[in-house]
Amino acid sequence: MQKKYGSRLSPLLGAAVVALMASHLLAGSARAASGKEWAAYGGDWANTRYSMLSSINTSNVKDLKVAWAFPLGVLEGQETTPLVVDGTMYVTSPRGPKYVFALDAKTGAVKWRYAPEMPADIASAVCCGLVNRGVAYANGKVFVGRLDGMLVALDASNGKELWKVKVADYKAGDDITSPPTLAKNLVVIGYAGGEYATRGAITAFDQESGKEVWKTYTIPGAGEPGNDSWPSPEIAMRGGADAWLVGSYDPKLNLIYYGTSNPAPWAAHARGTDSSDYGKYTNLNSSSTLALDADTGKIVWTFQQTPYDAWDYDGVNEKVLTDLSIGGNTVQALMSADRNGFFYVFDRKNGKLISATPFVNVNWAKGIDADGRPVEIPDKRPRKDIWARDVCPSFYGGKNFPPVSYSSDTHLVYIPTFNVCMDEVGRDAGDPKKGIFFLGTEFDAGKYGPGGNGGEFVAWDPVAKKKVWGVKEPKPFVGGALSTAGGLVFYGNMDGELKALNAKSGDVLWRFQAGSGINQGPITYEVGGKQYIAVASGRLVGPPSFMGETGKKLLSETTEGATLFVFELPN
Amino acid sequence: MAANSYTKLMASVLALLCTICLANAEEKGGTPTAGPSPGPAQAADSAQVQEGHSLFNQTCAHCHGPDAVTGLSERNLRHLKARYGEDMHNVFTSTVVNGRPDKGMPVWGEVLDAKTIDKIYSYLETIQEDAQ
Repeated sequence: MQKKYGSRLSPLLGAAVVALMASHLLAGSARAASGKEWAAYGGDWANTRYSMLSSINTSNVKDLKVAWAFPLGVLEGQETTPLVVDGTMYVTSPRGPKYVFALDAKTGAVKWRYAPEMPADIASAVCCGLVNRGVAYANGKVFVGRLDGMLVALDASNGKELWKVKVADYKAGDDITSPPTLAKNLVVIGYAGGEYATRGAITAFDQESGKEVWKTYTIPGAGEPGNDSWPSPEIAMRGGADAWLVGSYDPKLNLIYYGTSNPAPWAAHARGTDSSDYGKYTNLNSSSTLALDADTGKIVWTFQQTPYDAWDYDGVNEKVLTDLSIGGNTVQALMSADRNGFFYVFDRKNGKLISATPFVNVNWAKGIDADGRPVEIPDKRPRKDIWARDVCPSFYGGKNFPPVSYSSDTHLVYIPTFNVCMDEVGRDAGDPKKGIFFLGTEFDAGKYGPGGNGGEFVAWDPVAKKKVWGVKEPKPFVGGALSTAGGLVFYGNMDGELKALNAKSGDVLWRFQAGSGINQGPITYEVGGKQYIAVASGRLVGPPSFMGETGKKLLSETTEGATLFVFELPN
Repeated sequence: MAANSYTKLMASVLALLCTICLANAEEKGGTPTAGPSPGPAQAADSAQVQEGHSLFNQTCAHCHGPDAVTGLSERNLRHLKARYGEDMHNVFTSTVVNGRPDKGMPVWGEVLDAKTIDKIYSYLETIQEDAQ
């Protein structure tokens, strides 16, 4: 907050301005007023990952060079998005996070490190990598979600713990890998667990004190509306639907948006009819989008992208909030590139479905009909002891956690996509046991789809509902996107190549070989009048290993890494 | 422990079949060569191996890779023999039963019965590779 305003203006006006700025901050709204910071995971609480900075642009990006590099200290998949606030960069390593670093955003010099000690057994109930996607910042505090299920507030000036609360039981599989969402005076967070026998929830704590303010379960309890979308309350209570990725916040509507994971167990026969005629057993609110009232946590609207999921199509992918001009009207939209391969556009006030269009090769459903229900192709649904073959997308989804970016210049959504298909069959899931995988399936996810490329970086028009251009990538695990007012879009790939493209045409204007896979989106910020681009490099460890021989080949062709790179133009 | 009686059973089956081998070899005028699992013994429990294969893929594949194919050397169960030699079965069984919580291996002894563990082991025995 800029204190100098108070000294220049008359006391009354000064107080009004200060109050306005305070409410702007507490509302946790939008990107920092100057656009020079990267104050939230998604650039802003709308998750647009778009920057207004333009000193680095299409005419000079070819000269971009390394300003400094920083060791993140832990070899594991690097899934972190750094924040930059007031000249300080906050960046995390995996395994805990093992470290939260506060760095001088100009030079990379370490201001402080927070190094929490994790219990020795955190690894045994983490499904998909001991990763951390970053922190949240507000009012001089840094909020950190940890693999041991704890949420911590740090003093941003020195990294000391201010308070710590237990959100969930990591031993049950409910670890935390993503940063929280900030709304007004609250810090809001979910947790993982869709591969275990748990029940998801989203909890809000007071930013100052850490006191719990509200907790909303994603699966309705016994007797509550929607509980009968499960064959029994017992089955519902360990049905997954965990909100493990990031949320979005609209301060005007005062709504927090989260997506939920697959239902548990993976084997659908254990929680319904084991067919495309699932009747009422849709398993609410798994694979869904939830809108919660920020003050009370009450669910205002829900939409289930994949009813009675059998493919691990989590509904968690980030919800991008923006106003779109559709058919002459302005729609307050919520967009998401879903795991199930469909790109959804909703009215974010009420959850009304505006469109759902395949953004990758999809063959488990012919389409989504007007009321949002997928029109399934029955033999693409894995069933008990009946294999579904060549199902696209695979359980990785059309898109996984690597984030999209929406550019308000080009009006395009930039999406890192998978072109991977799978075979899957349901087996006996066994009895649910705490901390043990609750799956009941066999799978083979080693095949690439039509075209033979592992992935593609797609420029998608959400209004015209079509791909405008795409860059095919030989390997899957394409990294997240950043778009800027400099006319650029950035992304990295599994080989560690970071690229800058013309955001309109897709022409590659600059490349840099970082040495190890880039999974997250880069960020951009300005300090001391100079613009920088930053990205973490370090290929994923766990997820490729589900791909059998293909995965083995991918891992042998790439190397683990743990480096943050920051780029600048020459002086 | 079930594993011990299984081993005894296998030993008797092997002894029986080797007698048959020897008898055949004498007819052909040669002696059977020593080496890895003889063909007839494998055929006798291929159902067990098949079950073990499916059980492995349902239970273990999510970390160890489908068909135990993985690029992560620390999780590579196709290298158990190369790594542990004669100790392979003991290391396998105790690791599965006791877990390795600090490395992310769950404590399966509370979840899987001995028969299931044996079946999975009999599958793993058939896919051992030379480590690079």
